[in-house]
Amino acid sequence: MNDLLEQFLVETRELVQSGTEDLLSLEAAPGDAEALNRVFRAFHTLKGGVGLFDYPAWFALLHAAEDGLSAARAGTLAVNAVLVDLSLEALDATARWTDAVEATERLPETATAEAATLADRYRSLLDRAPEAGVTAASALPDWAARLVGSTDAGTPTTALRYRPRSDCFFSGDDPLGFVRKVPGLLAVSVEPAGPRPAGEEFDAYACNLDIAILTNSGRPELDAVFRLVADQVTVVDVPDGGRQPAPTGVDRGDAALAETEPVVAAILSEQVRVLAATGDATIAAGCLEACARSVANAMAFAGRTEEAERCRLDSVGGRQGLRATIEAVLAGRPGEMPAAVAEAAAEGSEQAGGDAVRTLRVDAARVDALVALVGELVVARNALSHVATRAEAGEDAATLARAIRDADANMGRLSMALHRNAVSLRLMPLSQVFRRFTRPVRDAVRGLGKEVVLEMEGEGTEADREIVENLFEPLLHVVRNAVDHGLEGVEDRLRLGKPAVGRIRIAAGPDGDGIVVSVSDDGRGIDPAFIRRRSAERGLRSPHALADMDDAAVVDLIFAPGFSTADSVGALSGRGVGMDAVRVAAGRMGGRVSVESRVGAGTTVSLHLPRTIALSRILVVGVGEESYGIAMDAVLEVVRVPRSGIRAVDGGDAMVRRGRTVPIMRLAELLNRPDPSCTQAKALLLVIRSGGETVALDVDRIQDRLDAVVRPPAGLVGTVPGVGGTTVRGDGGVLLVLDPTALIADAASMGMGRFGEGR
Amino acid sequence: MTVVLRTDDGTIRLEGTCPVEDAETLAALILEDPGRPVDWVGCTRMHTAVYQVLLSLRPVVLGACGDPFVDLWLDRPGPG
Repeated sequence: MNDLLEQFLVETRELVQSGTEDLLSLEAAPGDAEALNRVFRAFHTLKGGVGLFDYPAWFALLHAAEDGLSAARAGTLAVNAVLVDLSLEALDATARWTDAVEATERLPETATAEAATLADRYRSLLDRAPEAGVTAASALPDWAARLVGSTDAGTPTTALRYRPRSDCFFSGDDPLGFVRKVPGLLAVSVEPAGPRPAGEEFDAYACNLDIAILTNSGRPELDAVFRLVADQVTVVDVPDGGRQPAPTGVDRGDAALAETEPVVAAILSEQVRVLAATGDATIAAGCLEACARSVANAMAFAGRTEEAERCRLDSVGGRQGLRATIEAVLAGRPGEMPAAVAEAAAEGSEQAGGDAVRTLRVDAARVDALVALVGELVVARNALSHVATRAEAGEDAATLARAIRDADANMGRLSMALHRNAVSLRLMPLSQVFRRFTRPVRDAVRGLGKEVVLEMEGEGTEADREIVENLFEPLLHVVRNAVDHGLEGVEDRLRLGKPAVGRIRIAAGPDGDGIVVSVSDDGRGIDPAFIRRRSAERGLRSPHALADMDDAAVVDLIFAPGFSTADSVGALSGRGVGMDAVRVAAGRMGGRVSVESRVGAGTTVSLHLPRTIALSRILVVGVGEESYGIAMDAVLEVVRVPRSGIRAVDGGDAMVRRGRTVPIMRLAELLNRPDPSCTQAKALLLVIRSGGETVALDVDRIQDRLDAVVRPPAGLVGTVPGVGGTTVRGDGGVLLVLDPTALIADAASMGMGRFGEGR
Repeated sequence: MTVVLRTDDGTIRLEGTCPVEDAETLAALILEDPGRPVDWVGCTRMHTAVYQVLLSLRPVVLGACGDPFVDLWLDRPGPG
């Protein structure tokens, strides 16, 4: 995939996300002008992004949405549920098309029709809106009249007054920069907006200007130029010798073409600005390519294919060449070929062909730390070469050995630190996941007759990208369950004396080395009696075993596979739909999940996850001819017990350890390996904690301990049950690292060793 | 930095592209000695903020502005 497209996809998703949030906050407070501005800007940027590629339907939709929001900003269109819903739908479509483009680089076939429908809905909104923003042409305001009177050049059609906000310089505006872009300029007046307060210090960065211009181009052209500062601009039509003012968008028939032109013009002028601004050689190539492409697409969109082709060709001639061409087109001299093309040809051509770099957004400080460490590593290496020189000079072995050990220790320390820092490059805040919940909760609550406030806490907590990205789905399961089954309806809540509005709280925080993410609700809680009944019905545990489990252990059964199925959702008083999937997902990320609940008061589900894909300590165990790794933190203890102390209990083996019955499983059996019977007089057992239970694994020998980066299973290995990942051993061989929880759960589901019933 | 104070003749000279940051430097130089003339012949592109400084503080401006847009469309600031 093209790098530009890749970057576009990333940004589009971010914009859809932020746009959705802002729309939701706009829905909550329709008067929030800032939120409206943010939504507008999100759509504006989205449109700009889409314009870089060849997706006319998508572009048209975003353009229509932008028009609608622009009208809302100008106050001519009411901000209401209709506008918000429509805009959310537009963002949904954008999100779906982003996925489609990522998969196939094309829009789905339905996109054109869908875009047209949505765009039409925006237009019908606009058509109904009163044209409050249009000032009657007959009443020419003073400032415009003055300007008309001061000039006799040309035949002005439109006058514009632009009073930049006083802080506009800080937001990067160059007010006269907009004026420079106005086509058909006839007169400009720039005056101080007000007298400078006497005695006060002159502030060069406070804009205090009143700009008025007169042009012979129409309102749409001006709108295009001043689109970003539309709130600071007043436009009036100037009546002129019987010529009618430019249509203001009511007549859609023949205005359609004229309407695209200002957009095209705006896109072109934007490219000129970008081309002029880019001085940085490292991004110049990508920038040039992007500009050429947007211009070509914009021109093709406007039906000017010949010029589109020329722009494409001129981009080979480097920045200056392209810029000259665009300016020629803008000035209405499309045939004129820039003389600069030939001489500028050398400038960017090589860069344009080169590969751009895949991007990752990283805090600069983290990169600095990494660079510093690499510097230290280089120094450490020099120490080693010094030792080599000493060895060549014939220094004695003992001194050398010490020097080598020192160097090794030093480099070991540095490589650990380097690993830690490199891993931290991948850290990202959980807010990225948390923010995605507002929408599903809103959607889930609608139609359920419930009211919910979603609270979030600790979204600044950071974790590895892999974990953050994989967190959404399991967390969504939990949140949906809380909304569906945890919270009561409004009436029930009132009857119980609870506030009508339910509360769901997603919180994150550090938890030792890792993080904990929890979802709490103040709903009805989980009734252990119900879980007992259901578990017995489903044969998850024998009634005997259930009777011996305490309430907490019983509630934990909601995570057991087979506890509930989709068809029984309605019958559930608590929750449980797909909670086993949550446990599996947490396990896959190297974490675990737990639940706490009080009947009538609510439920908290917590996911305990590692912060990074850290170096793990691995225990290498041998079974028969083979070796496997087991994460050391899963192992509670390693014991040797005489075989005589192992008893057959209820179809499996078990031993008594610290007053508890611990079921024993043979690792060879779990892995379906040939089991060369138990030859040793003493069994070697790894006592591990797995899914809330203690189990002992019978292995043949313990071979090694190592620190390793465990890679998640992929490809063929990914389909083997019970394998948590792979790592490379010191001798270069690949070691399968087992996930005891999955291994045992898998065995349990196949009916092997009914260990869960031990006491 | 494209605002230069010439020590030989005491003029303030604007050169090349004068971005928004130049506004403050320019304002400081003019306020320091309001009699200093400003030479804007070498300025090829002027930011609004820079023009605003000239418009508000009204120093004597020398020559024609090198920024064609300013030269063509904007009033020439000056004392009076």
